[in-house]
Amino acid sequence: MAIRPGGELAARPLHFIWICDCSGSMVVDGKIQSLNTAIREAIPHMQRIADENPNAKVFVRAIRFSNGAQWHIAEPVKVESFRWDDLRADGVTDMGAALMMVADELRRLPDRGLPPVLVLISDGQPTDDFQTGLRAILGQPWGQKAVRMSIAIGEDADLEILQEFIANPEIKPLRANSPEALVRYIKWVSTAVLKSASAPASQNTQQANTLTTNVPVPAPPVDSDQENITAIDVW
Amino acid sequence: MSGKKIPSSFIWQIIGASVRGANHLRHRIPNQDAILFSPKHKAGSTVFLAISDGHGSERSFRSQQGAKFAVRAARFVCRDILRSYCQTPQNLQKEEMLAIARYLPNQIVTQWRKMVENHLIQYPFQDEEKHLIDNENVFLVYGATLLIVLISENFILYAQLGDGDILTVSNSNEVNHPLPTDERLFANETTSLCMPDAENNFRIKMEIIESPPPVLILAASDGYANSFLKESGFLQVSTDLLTAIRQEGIDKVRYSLPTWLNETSIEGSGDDITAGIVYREEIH
Repeated sequence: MAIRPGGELAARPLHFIWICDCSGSMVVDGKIQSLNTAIREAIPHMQRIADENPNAKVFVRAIRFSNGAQWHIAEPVKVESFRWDDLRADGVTDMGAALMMVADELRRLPDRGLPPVLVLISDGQPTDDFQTGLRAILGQPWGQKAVRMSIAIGEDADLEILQEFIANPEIKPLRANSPEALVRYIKWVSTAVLKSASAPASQNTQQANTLTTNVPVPAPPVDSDQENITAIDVW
Repeated sequence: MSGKKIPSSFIWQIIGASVRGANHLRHRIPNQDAILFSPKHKAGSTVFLAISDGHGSERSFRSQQGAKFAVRAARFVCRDILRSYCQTPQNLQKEEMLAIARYLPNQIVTQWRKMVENHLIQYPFQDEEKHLIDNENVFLVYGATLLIVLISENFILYAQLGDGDILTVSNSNEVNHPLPTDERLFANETTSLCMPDAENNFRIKMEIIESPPPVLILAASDGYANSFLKESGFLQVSTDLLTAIRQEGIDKVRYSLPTWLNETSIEGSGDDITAGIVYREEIH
């Protein structure tokens, strides 16, 4: 039998990007440390999901924003090698600057790939030009088709802004009012959302809204904290 | 009809295979591609090939059937075209080519919708399926793409609705896409037979056979191209197949094809892969 025709085979890349608020308010009530813990605890779950689908090659990156924005993990790291160094919080909430930098990376992604997953986590309101940053993301083909999720930490998070980032009325920002809820939501986006994004089915172009992903987003976990909000709300 | 003499008929062979994707196997999802071609196991001067890829999404939960209907509708319409336009050994006029280009998509969409409607009568939706149905477009449940290659003694027709690829290889080993790219086909989005204006979204090309036609034509569902690190790796499939057919014969390639497609899905996209290969026999 002749050898298999064609060049080098490869699983399709899936880029997962954490977009983390590191403003000074994240220090209050240990929010930044809870975020560090939640992402670190999610890593093995994320690796398990990626391992279950070898036809998707998951790469992870992270960007922080406070006074401006900087890549926390600049180069895409294979999920099996993904480690989390603690973020530190201080300064303001330059969310728009982070979105501009993410948009620039999305522009560089090749056409071959699975829709990226972008997870925006914030406890406050942007102090810079959020709209320009959002437009930059939605101006990129992969930005439009990315799975965009957002997590609001605490009562002061700007839910309208986080909803605008998602740009899909069927998906709501996740509201984490306690460290436990934050862990649960971080785990959920690292597993259920990642799994769905790893093996999307085809969708016809008229069915797909131009600003939304064609990846079906599973239902988020029920937050029992919100049902009994006064009992264990800490943020 | 033009009185221009057509060249001597070329003789073609066609083989094809469809494999269930590695990811579909893991999740116990059936193969949602379909393929039909003729003639089988012999050479001929007329060739038909159709490949369809069912969407496979939650809302297209009967796309496996939709893909089967797509290739059957294509066969029905292509037979009709051959009967209507290819009875005399003369070149087609431009007007006739335009008529075929209009007829083919309209008739395929009409036939496909009829098949879907008949299936719905035989197998109505279950109560537990009804929440998944788009009441404004029930055809979405059966959504599927379509690739067609039709060769007669005097023309080659390429038609495509949705994702997937058709490649040609010339005598000088040059690889080409006979159809223009569709910029809308990005991030798993595709045009589809289920669209209300599906017939307007076909890409069609007809070539009169006046000079030597391609020596090989490859049509494949998108799971094939998506399996390669680079596009050049996929284009290489067509020239490697030509080399393999010339060196080892088409029967050995026919035998090996399912194994190659399985290996490609496992190490590549994980998607169903379907490929049809049309080979022009050397005339000595």
